Amino acid sequence: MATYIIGYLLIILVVAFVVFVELVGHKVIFVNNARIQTIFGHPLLRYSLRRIGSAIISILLAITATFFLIRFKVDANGGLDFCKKVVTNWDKMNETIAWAQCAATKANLGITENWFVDLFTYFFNILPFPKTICVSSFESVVDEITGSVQYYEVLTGCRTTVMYLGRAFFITAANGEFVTDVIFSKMGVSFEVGIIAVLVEIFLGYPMGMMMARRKDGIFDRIGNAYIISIDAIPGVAYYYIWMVILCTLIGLPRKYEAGNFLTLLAPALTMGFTGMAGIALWVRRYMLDEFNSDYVKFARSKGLSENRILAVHILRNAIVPLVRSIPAAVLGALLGTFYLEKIYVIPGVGGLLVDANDKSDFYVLQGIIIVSALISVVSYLLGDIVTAVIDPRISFSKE
Amino acid sequence: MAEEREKILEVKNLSVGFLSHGKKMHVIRDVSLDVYKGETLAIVGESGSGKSVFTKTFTGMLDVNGFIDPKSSIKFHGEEISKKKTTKEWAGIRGKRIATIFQDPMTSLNPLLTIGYQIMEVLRLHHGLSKQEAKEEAINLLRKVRIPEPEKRIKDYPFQYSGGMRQRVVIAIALACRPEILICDEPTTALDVTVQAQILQLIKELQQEYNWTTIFITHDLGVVANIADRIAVMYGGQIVEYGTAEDIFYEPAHPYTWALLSSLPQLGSKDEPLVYIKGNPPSFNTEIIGDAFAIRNEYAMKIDYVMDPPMFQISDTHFAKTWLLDKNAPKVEKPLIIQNLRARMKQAAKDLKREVGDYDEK
Ligand SMILES: Nc1ncnc2c1ncn2[C@@H]1O[C@H](COP(=O)(O)OP(=O)(O)O)[C@@H](O)[C@H]1O
Ligand SMILES: [Mg+2]
Repeated sequence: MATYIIGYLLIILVVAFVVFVELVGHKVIFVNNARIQTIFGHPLLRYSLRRIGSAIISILLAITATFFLIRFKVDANGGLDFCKKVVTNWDKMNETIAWAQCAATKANLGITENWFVDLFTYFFNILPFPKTICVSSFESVVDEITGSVQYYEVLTGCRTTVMYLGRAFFITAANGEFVTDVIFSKMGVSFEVGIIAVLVEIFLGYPMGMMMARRKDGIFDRIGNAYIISIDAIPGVAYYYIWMVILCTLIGLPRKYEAGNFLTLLAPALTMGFTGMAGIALWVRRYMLDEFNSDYVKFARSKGLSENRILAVHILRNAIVPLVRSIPAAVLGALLGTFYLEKIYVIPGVGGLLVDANDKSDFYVLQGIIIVSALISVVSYLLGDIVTAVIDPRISFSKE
Repeated sequence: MAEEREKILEVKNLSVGFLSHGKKMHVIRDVSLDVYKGETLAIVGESGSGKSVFTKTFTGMLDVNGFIDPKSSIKFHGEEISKKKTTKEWAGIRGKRIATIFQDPMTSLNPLLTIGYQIMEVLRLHHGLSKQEAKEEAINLLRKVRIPEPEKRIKDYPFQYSGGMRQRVVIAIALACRPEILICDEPTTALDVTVQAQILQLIKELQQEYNWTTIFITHDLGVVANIADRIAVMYGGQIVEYGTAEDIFYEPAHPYTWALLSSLPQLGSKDEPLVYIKGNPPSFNTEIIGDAFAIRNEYAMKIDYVMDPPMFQISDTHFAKTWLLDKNAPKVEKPLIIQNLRARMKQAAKDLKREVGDYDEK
């Protein structure tokens, strides 16, 4: 009970805060208090809240849409297709028993006849406030004599969680695992590889682009361009294989992922990093060349500044501003992994999970991944905007 | 201007080319010109005539595909500077002794750095001021170019300034350099008329106070009437006529100068149609044979199509590069509209004075 009260209080507080910020921002209240005006009326704060607000709405719409799509699939053909998929040995079973088992499974998943009730239950469960979720298992038992089916409900346990995304039934060995647990553990694996890859991309991509721009048409620029073009021309998967051959077969790095073995992260991380850095170098080079040709760099040069100073103060800074926006997306995107990479290096990450969940119709997992990816992209765009606003004085988030 | 004055810059046989698509094209063609200490020299010509390229060679600011012909010479205080290449070699001259203000104030300032920073940067580099000293000096300079509340506005970013204000900041930066020569490359072209007049007035006043040498580039003869001591007219990569402002306005000798003067909008009266120069400036893609202006010149003679005219001396101060001055050339009358230019100029100046209050007559 207490958790519910805390939860609702939290929601009320959030709503009140948003309303307060809007009122201050529109100069309805606290008009004369400069401090409150600057803190709560800050355009960036209001902008962020609006962004979060509209993001929540789009996430809700996305959830609703996918929810109905999936439910449509579950109920299609009188539910036969779905049941055949979830009940192993459907064809060899007695039909009544098979149907009963399917019904038990549905009960386990929290599927009732009423789509809307299910949807709202789902919505309530993903509201981020602490709530106690009790889960039970349904078993169907057929009475040999009467032929009637009876359910036994076994309470498996209760647990307090912030966000409940349902349970996974078909993709893991441990039946009924919380979807959040499944996704987070997979994310951990994807992130291990992804974050190294992002670091490689950034710490190699930026200097590569800079050096290419510094001596345009020089030997380094030519090699770099050739690399970038080849990455562009060859499909990503093929490129991953090429790097796999170089890193594993030729250099001898271990190929298969092993939990807890750092060495096994290297090959996939470098594969992704070396591929991704081309894109970064391409943009760094492009933006820097734009800067080289800009009037203010020419003016800076005509002021008599040294080349190094021009490069450090006037070119790099300006060239990097438009690129910084994408860094949060890259870092947070590492949480979601890359399917082909995970396939090549046998990494049990999110990329594989998505495909697996789709194949096996584990729709809470599918839905969970969609929500988490949406959240990640919302947060990374917001962070990108905030970082950009902090370093670029021209940006103001007020309406005009 | 009869007395001998110190030459601050001597340009001799300057040729500048660009390498583009594997082809060389010469954009400045054998130009010689002296600049005297303390004077205001205006360089006038249609856009594309090579004014910017010409003056860029004084600070080594040519684009990377540009090159100066080896037989050219540019002497600054007697020192040969045309062979300098790298920024290192130019250190001490570029910015510090010869500063440039460019055309577009909207894009001349770095959008991500404060106004104050961009001025202080120069002060610290060229004059070794400390941060605090530089800040005080920057405020002074902003006050000098009449930015209101400079103590506050020093923390602003360029986007918070209007075009005219930005050009004032650019001028403040040039002031911060304390140069001997200030090159103003069409500093008012991008501004609207009243702001133009204010900026010109400011440049003129500062010139009187600091007594530097100004090279003022414009495609508009009307703009220079008020500030130039001497005028050089540029066409197709050559200086086709130069002399004192008096020489050029009242005794113009080159048909191109005539055309430029005739097309001054300030001179047109209501009942006469505005005159403009027909045709296009020459393209540098193919080699120019003869007088570059010949094809657009109604006074052109046969020889203009075959031989480039030499520079004829008209007086101590006045030179023009046209075959019309050759002793064998027929006598021609300059266009009617500029024959009584003196009277028209007086009228125009009066009109201008009425329009822009503080704009004084030469
Ligand atoms: N980097 C360059 N490469 C090739 N041509 C150039 C370059 N810079 C200028 N030019 C050419 O030189 C000529 C003179 O240009 P410019 O000096 O800018 O004229 P303006 O008199 O308008 O200042 C123009 O025809 C222009 O196209
Ligand atoms: Mg120009």
